[in-house]
Amino acid sequence: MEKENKIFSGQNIGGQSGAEKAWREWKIRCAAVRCGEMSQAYLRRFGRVHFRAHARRCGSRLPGYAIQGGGEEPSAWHLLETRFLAGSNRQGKAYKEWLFHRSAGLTGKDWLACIEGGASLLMRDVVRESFRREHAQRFDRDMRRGRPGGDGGSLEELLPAVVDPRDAMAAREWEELAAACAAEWYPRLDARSRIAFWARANGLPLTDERVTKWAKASGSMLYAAHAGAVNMIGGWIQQRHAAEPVHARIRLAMLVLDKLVDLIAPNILSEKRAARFFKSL
Amino acid sequence: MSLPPYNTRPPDAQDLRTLNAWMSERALDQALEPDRLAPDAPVGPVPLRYDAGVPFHKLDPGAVCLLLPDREAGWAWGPVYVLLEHRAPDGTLSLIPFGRYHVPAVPGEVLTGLRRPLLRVLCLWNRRVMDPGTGRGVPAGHMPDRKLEEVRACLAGVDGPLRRGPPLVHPLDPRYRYLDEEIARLDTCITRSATFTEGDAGEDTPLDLNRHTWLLAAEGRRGGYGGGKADKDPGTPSGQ
Repeated sequence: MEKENKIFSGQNIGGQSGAEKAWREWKIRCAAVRCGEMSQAYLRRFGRVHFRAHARRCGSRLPGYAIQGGGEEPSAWHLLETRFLAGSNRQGKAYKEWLFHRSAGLTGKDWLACIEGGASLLMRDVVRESFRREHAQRFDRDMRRGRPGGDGGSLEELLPAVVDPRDAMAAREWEELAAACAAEWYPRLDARSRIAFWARANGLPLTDERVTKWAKASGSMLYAAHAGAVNMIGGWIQQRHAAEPVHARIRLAMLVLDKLVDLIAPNILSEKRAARFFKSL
Repeated sequence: MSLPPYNTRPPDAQDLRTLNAWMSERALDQALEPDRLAPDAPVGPVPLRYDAGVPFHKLDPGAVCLLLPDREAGWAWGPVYVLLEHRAPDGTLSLIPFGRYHVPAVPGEVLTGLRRPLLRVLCLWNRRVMDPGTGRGVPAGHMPDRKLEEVRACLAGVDGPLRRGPPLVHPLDPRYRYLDEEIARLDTCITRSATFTEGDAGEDTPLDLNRHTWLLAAEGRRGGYGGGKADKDPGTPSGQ
């Protein structure tokens, strides 16, 4: 470790730093084991350091996880080579070309930073893949527990039981109930919510530049407006139909949102800046 | 107050398992680098240019390539693989990106059956049609002909052996943010002017997937939130 620190602490070797030499040698030889001793040591250390840094972020989400010395880190570079770079096959070569393409035209420290930034991105994917395989059970969400991000709900809500009206008359009643709910809620929606609902229903991302310009709001603000309106409607349905199971309430909420879009759509051109938006499509 | 009468049936068990696996990997991904995943991350103004790589129009349908980003911000996403699915007689190219995760997120994504990382899932909903002569990539292999036919069958709406992702039902499902990110991920890699056509993609393409219907394609349907609605003309107000 001391030897490699001496070599790679900015010391130039023939006009190149030791680190740059290691990367260039690796590019030619395709695997760390085929490189010289110093280059091997550098690449393996790079792998260890970056694996650990990424693993620490993942591990912070796992109660009780601690980075064990002598775990996957010594072989992190090998993992990168075998999972993503795979030596001689076309996919492996493509990755190397990707890694070195970005640095085209750069020299010295800029070149090195560019290469190592890209390699760190690849190592990130190695860590994610390793954690997924070995710690998936601990990340798995119980069906009844909340979703990641702490915004409530569960997998049961994301993928609820399918609700079908019992017959044609019942189907009409569902539609009429949803229409009545939507009529009650439509006047309460603000412009931002109306635009968010309309955009979603028409397959436009809330982060689409044309939508954000129209709404005069960032993507985050539109997400918040959309979620706020949906949560209010959901809470209102929950209060009125507290005795019903969650999947039935979700079905009603979905129908209400559909009906709301039907109310929003005919009046969408009267929203401010709508003409400019539609011209941009 | 009671709801009108209804029957229920449980969600598909496979869909639940797939969604569970996807959410787990998503949690890992978000733990790794939450800042980069912000959906409204800015795009660099100056496109990068390359002399290396192969122009897409020189590759055959079925080619799998690593995209060389047109923009600085494209590099921040890491490698983006695409499948060159089709080349029309006028030279326009149909590209389909591969997904970041190991299982499909939505019905518009399919499991390819390929085992290599970053090639396991194909995002049919995010297909792009490019002008002839635009875009470059680094060839990274070729999809087997049989598999390419299965992909095309999926695009045409024919059920086949490729497994699709679970339905997108809840309006606050976190997969909506993921879909927005995927659009941004590809947008930062491909020059915007060459990403899509406003109208039909061409007579020979099996399915018209213009950009406005990306979400509906992701959900595997063409309609509003509730599903089962008549097709709407994208780009004009619904119901008009």
